[in-house]
Amino acid sequence: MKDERRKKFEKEVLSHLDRLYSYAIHLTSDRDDAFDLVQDTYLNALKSEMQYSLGTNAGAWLFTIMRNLFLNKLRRKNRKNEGNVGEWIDQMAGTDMIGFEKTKTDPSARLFDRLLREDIVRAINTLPVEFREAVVLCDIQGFSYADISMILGVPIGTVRSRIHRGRMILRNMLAEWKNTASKED
Amino acid sequence: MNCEEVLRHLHDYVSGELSANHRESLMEHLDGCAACRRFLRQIKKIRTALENTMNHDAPPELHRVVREMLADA
Repeated sequence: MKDERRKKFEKEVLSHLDRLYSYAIHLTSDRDDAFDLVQDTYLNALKSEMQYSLGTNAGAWLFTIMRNLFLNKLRRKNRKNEGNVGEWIDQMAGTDMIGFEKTKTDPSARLFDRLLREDIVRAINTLPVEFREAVVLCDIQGFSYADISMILGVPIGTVRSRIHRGRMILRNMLAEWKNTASKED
Repeated sequence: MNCEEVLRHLHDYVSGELSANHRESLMEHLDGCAACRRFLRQIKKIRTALENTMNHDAPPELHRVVREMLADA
Protein backbone atom coordinates (compact mmCIF):
# COMPACT_ATOMS: atom_id res chain seq x y z
CA MET A 1 0.00 0.00 0.00
CA LYS A 2 1.39 3.38 -0.99
CA ASP A 3 2.05 5.95 1.65
CA GLU A 4 0.35 9.33 1.61
CA ARG A 5 3.49 11.14 0.54
CA ARG A 6 3.90 9.02 -2.56
CA LYS A 7 0.25 9.47 -3.53
CA LYS A 8 0.54 13.24 -3.24
CA PHE A 9 3.83 13.21 -5.12
CA GLU A 10 2.30 11.25 -8.01
CA LYS A 11 -0.67 13.58 -8.19
CA GLU A 12 1.53 16.69 -8.25
CA VAL A 13 3.96 15.45 -10.89
CA LEU A 14 1.32 13.90 -13.15
CA SER A 15 -0.56 17.18 -13.43
CA HIS A 16 2.36 18.59 -15.49
CA LEU A 17 2.57 15.82 -18.09
CA ASP A 18 0.99 17.72 -21.00
CA ARG A 19 3.06 20.84 -20.31
CA LEU A 20 6.23 18.77 -20.12
CA TYR A 21 5.41 17.12 -23.43
CA SER A 22 4.89 20.54 -25.06
CA TYR A 23 8.24 21.71 -23.73
CA ALA A 24 9.89 18.46 -24.85
CA ILE A 25 8.52 18.99 -28.38
CA HIS A 26 9.93 22.50 -28.28
CA LEU A 27 13.36 21.25 -27.16
CA THR A 28 13.68 18.20 -29.40
CA SER A 29 11.48 19.05 -32.42
CA ASP A 30 10.70 15.34 -32.66
CA ARG A 31 7.71 13.48 -31.25
CA ASP A 32 9.60 10.27 -30.46
CA ASP A 33 12.47 12.11 -28.80
CA ALA A 34 9.94 14.21 -26.86
CA PHE A 35 8.22 11.01 -25.70
CA ASP A 36 11.55 9.60 -24.47
CA LEU A 37 12.57 12.88 -22.85
CA VAL A 38 9.34 13.03 -20.83
CA GLN A 39 9.82 9.43 -19.68
CA ASP A 40 13.41 10.14 -18.66
CA THR A 41 12.26 13.26 -16.81
CA TYR A 42 9.80 11.22 -14.72
CA LEU A 43 12.42 8.54 -14.10
CA ASN A 44 14.82 11.17 -12.80
CA ALA A 45 12.07 12.81 -10.78
CA LEU A 46 11.36 9.45 -9.13
CA LYS A 47 15.05 9.01 -8.30
CA SER A 48 15.15 12.48 -6.75
CA GLU A 49 11.72 12.26 -5.16
CA MET A 50 12.95 12.94 -1.64
CA GLN A 51 14.61 16.19 -2.78
CA TYR A 52 11.19 17.58 -3.66
CA SER A 53 9.07 19.21 -0.94
CA LEU A 54 5.41 18.43 -1.50
CA GLY A 55 3.18 21.36 -2.34
CA THR A 56 6.04 23.61 -3.43
CA ASN A 57 6.58 23.91 -7.17
CA ALA A 58 6.46 20.62 -9.03
CA GLY A 59 6.22 22.37 -12.43
CA ALA A 60 9.44 24.37 -12.13
CA TRP A 61 11.20 21.37 -10.54
CA LEU A 62 10.22 19.02 -13.40
CA PHE A 63 11.03 21.57 -16.11
CA THR A 64 14.47 22.09 -14.56
CA ILE A 65 15.07 18.32 -14.60
CA MET A 66 13.91 18.09 -18.22
CA ARG A 67 16.03 20.99 -19.45
CA ASN A 68 19.15 19.66 -17.71
CA LEU A 69 18.56 16.18 -19.15
CA PHE A 70 18.15 17.60 -22.63
CA LEU A 71 21.28 19.77 -22.42
CA ASN A 72 23.35 16.89 -21.03
CA LYS A 73 22.20 14.60 -23.85
CA LEU A 74 22.99 17.25 -26.41
CA ARG A 75 26.44 17.88 -24.92
CA ARG A 76 27.21 14.14 -25.00
CA LYS A 77 26.00 13.94 -28.59
CA ASN A 78 28.09 16.95 -29.58
CA ARG A 79 31.18 15.53 -27.89
CA LYS A 80 30.68 12.30 -29.82
CA ASN A 81 30.33 14.21 -33.08
CA GLU A 82 33.15 16.58 -32.11
CA GLY A 83 30.71 19.43 -32.39
CA ASN A 84 31.27 22.95 -31.14
CA VAL A 85 30.28 23.92 -27.61
CA GLY A 86 27.53 26.21 -28.83
CA GLU A 87 26.24 23.85 -31.48
CA TRP A 88 23.11 22.98 -29.53
CA ILE A 89 22.02 26.58 -29.88
CA ASP A 90 22.21 26.32 -33.66
CA GLN A 91 20.46 22.96 -33.58
CA MET A 92 17.59 24.34 -31.56
CA ALA A 93 17.39 27.53 -33.59
CA GLY A 94 17.48 25.69 -36.90
CA THR A 95 14.61 23.30 -36.31
CA ASP A 96 11.34 23.70 -38.09
CA MET A 97 8.38 23.50 -35.75
CA ILE A 98 5.66 24.17 -38.28
CA GLY A 99 4.84 20.45 -38.39
CA PHE A 100 4.11 20.61 -34.68
CA GLU A 101 1.24 23.02 -34.81
CA LYS A 102 -1.28 22.67 -32.11
CA THR A 103 -3.62 19.74 -32.63
CA LYS A 104 -6.13 20.64 -29.93
CA THR A 105 -9.56 21.52 -31.26
CA ASP A 106 -10.66 24.36 -29.02
CA PRO A 107 -12.72 27.02 -30.81
CA SER A 108 -10.17 29.82 -30.39
CA ALA A 109 -7.54 27.72 -32.15
CA ARG A 110 -9.89 26.84 -35.01
CA LEU A 111 -10.72 30.48 -35.48
CA PHE A 112 -7.09 31.48 -35.47
CA ASP A 113 -5.76 32.59 -38.79
CA ARG A 114 -3.56 29.86 -40.25
CA LEU A 115 -1.13 32.26 -41.85
CA LEU A 116 -0.49 34.02 -38.55
CA ARG A 117 -0.02 30.64 -36.87
CA GLU A 118 2.66 29.63 -39.33
CA ASP A 119 4.30 33.03 -39.04
CA ILE A 120 4.32 32.72 -35.25
CA VAL A 121 6.04 29.34 -35.41
CA ARG A 122 8.58 30.64 -37.91
CA ALA A 123 9.17 33.76 -35.83
CA ILE A 124 9.69 31.92 -32.53
CA ASN A 125 12.19 29.59 -34.22
CA THR A 126 14.12 32.57 -35.54
CA LEU A 127 14.54 34.10 -32.08
CA PRO A 128 17.99 33.77 -30.49
CA VAL A 129 17.78 30.78 -28.15
CA GLU A 130 18.18 32.70 -24.87
CA PHE A 131 15.19 34.93 -25.73
CA ARG A 132 13.22 32.00 -27.12
CA GLU A 133 13.57 29.93 -23.97
CA ALA A 134 12.38 32.78 -21.77
CA VAL A 135 9.42 33.62 -24.04
CA VAL A 136 8.40 29.95 -24.35
CA LEU A 137 8.47 29.41 -20.58
CA CYS A 138 6.54 32.62 -19.91
CA ASP A 139 4.06 32.92 -22.77
CA ILE A 140 3.49 29.27 -23.68
CA GLN A 141 4.10 27.45 -20.41
CA GLY A 142 2.79 30.25 -18.19
CA PHE A 143 5.60 30.24 -15.63
CA SER A 144 6.28 33.20 -13.36
CA TYR A 145 9.55 35.14 -13.69
CA ALA A 146 10.74 33.53 -10.43
CA ASP A 147 10.08 30.02 -11.79
CA ILE A 148 11.82 30.82 -15.09
CA SER A 149 14.76 32.18 -13.16
CA MET A 150 14.99 28.81 -11.37
CA ILE A 151 14.59 26.74 -14.54
CA LEU A 152 17.14 28.70 -16.58
CA GLY A 153 19.49 29.41 -13.68
CA VAL A 154 19.66 33.16 -14.35
CA PRO A 155 18.59 36.18 -12.24
CA ILE A 156 14.99 37.46 -12.45
CA GLY A 157 16.19 40.72 -14.02
CA THR A 158 17.75 38.74 -16.86
CA VAL A 159 14.52 36.76 -17.30
CA ARG A 160 12.50 39.97 -17.49
CA SER A 161 14.85 41.56 -20.00
CA ARG A 162 14.94 38.42 -22.19
CA ILE A 163 11.14 38.22 -22.27
CA HIS A 164 10.80 41.92 -23.11
CA ARG A 165 13.42 41.80 -25.84
CA GLY A 166 12.17 38.47 -27.20
CA ARG A 167 8.61 39.77 -27.54
CA MET A 168 9.83 42.96 -29.20
CA ILE A 169 11.84 40.97 -31.75
CA LEU A 170 8.77 38.78 -32.43
CA ARG A 171 6.52 41.79 -32.81
CA ASN A 172 8.91 43.58 -35.16
CA MET A 173 9.51 40.45 -37.19
CA LEU A 174 5.79 39.78 -37.62
CA ALA A 175 5.12 43.41 -38.50
CA GLU A 176 7.87 43.33 -41.11
CA TRP A 177 6.57 40.11 -42.68
CA LYS A 178 3.06 41.53 -42.73
CA ASN A 179 4.31 44.65 -44.51
CA THR A 180 6.23 42.58 -47.04
CA ALA A 181 3.19 40.36 -47.68
CA SER A 182 0.97 43.43 -48.15
CA LYS A 183 3.37 44.89 -50.72
CA GLU A 184 3.47 41.58 -52.62
CA ASP A 185 -0.36 41.34 -52.79
CA MET B 1 4.21 57.56 -16.39
CA ASN B 2 5.42 58.29 -19.93
CA CYS B 3 5.22 56.03 -22.99
CA GLU B 4 8.75 54.69 -22.51
CA GLU B 5 8.05 53.62 -18.93
CA VAL B 6 4.72 52.19 -20.02
CA LEU B 7 6.45 49.99 -22.58
CA ARG B 8 8.57 48.45 -19.83
CA HIS B 9 5.61 47.88 -17.53
CA LEU B 10 3.33 46.56 -20.28
CA HIS B 11 5.42 43.44 -20.68
CA ASP B 12 5.26 42.76 -16.94
CA TYR B 13 1.51 43.42 -17.04
CA VAL B 14 1.01 40.89 -19.86
CA SER B 15 3.13 38.39 -17.91
CA GLY B 16 0.98 38.93 -14.80
CA GLU B 17 4.00 40.30 -12.93
CA LEU B 18 3.10 43.96 -12.49
CA SER B 19 2.60 45.27 -8.95
CA ALA B 20 -0.79 46.77 -8.03
CA ASN B 21 0.86 50.15 -7.63
CA HIS B 22 2.30 50.26 -11.15
CA ARG B 23 -0.85 48.71 -12.55
CA GLU B 24 -2.92 51.69 -11.51
CA SER B 25 -0.53 54.18 -13.16
CA LEU B 26 -0.41 52.01 -16.25
CA MET B 27 -4.21 51.94 -16.57
CA GLU B 28 -4.35 55.71 -16.20
CA HIS B 29 -1.85 56.13 -19.02
CA LEU B 30 -3.62 53.60 -21.25
CA ASP B 31 -6.91 55.46 -20.84
CA GLY B 32 -5.42 58.45 -22.64
CA CYS B 33 -2.88 56.88 -25.04
CA ALA B 34 -4.10 55.07 -28.16
CA ALA B 35 -0.56 54.14 -29.27
CA CYS B 36 0.19 52.28 -26.03
CA ARG B 37 -3.23 50.59 -26.13
CA ARG B 38 -2.40 49.38 -29.65
CA PHE B 39 0.97 48.11 -28.49
CA LEU B 40 -0.69 46.22 -25.62
CA ARG B 41 -3.15 44.58 -28.04
CA GLN B 42 -0.27 43.47 -30.28
CA ILE B 43 1.72 41.90 -27.44
CA LYS B 44 -1.40 40.15 -26.09
CA LYS B 45 -2.20 38.85 -29.57
CA ILE B 46 1.30 37.42 -29.96
CA ARG B 47 1.03 35.75 -26.55
CA THR B 48 -2.34 34.22 -27.41
CA ALA B 49 -1.02 33.04 -30.76
CA LEU B 50 1.96 31.38 -29.07
CA GLU B 51 -0.30 29.67 -26.52
CA ASN B 52 -2.68 28.43 -29.19
CA THR B 53 -0.04 27.31 -31.63
CA MET B 54 2.62 25.69 -29.51
CA ASN B 55 0.82 23.72 -26.81
CA HIS B 56 0.54 20.00 -27.40
CA ASP B 57 -1.37 17.35 -25.48
CA ALA B 58 0.78 14.36 -24.58
CA PRO B 59 -0.31 11.20 -26.44
CA PRO B 60 -2.44 8.74 -24.40
CA GLU B 61 0.35 6.16 -24.67
CA LEU B 62 2.73 8.51 -22.85
CA HIS B 63 0.15 9.08 -20.10
CA ARG B 64 -0.17 5.31 -19.74
CA VAL B 65 3.60 4.68 -19.66
CA VAL B 66 4.26 7.41 -17.08
CA ARG B 67 1.36 6.31 -14.85
CA GLU B 68 2.65 2.74 -14.93
CA MET B 69 6.18 3.90 -14.18
CA LEU B 70 4.96 5.81 -11.13
CA ALA B 71 2.72 2.95 -10.00
CA ASP B 72 5.54 0.39 -10.23
CA ALA B 73 8.12 2.52 -8.42
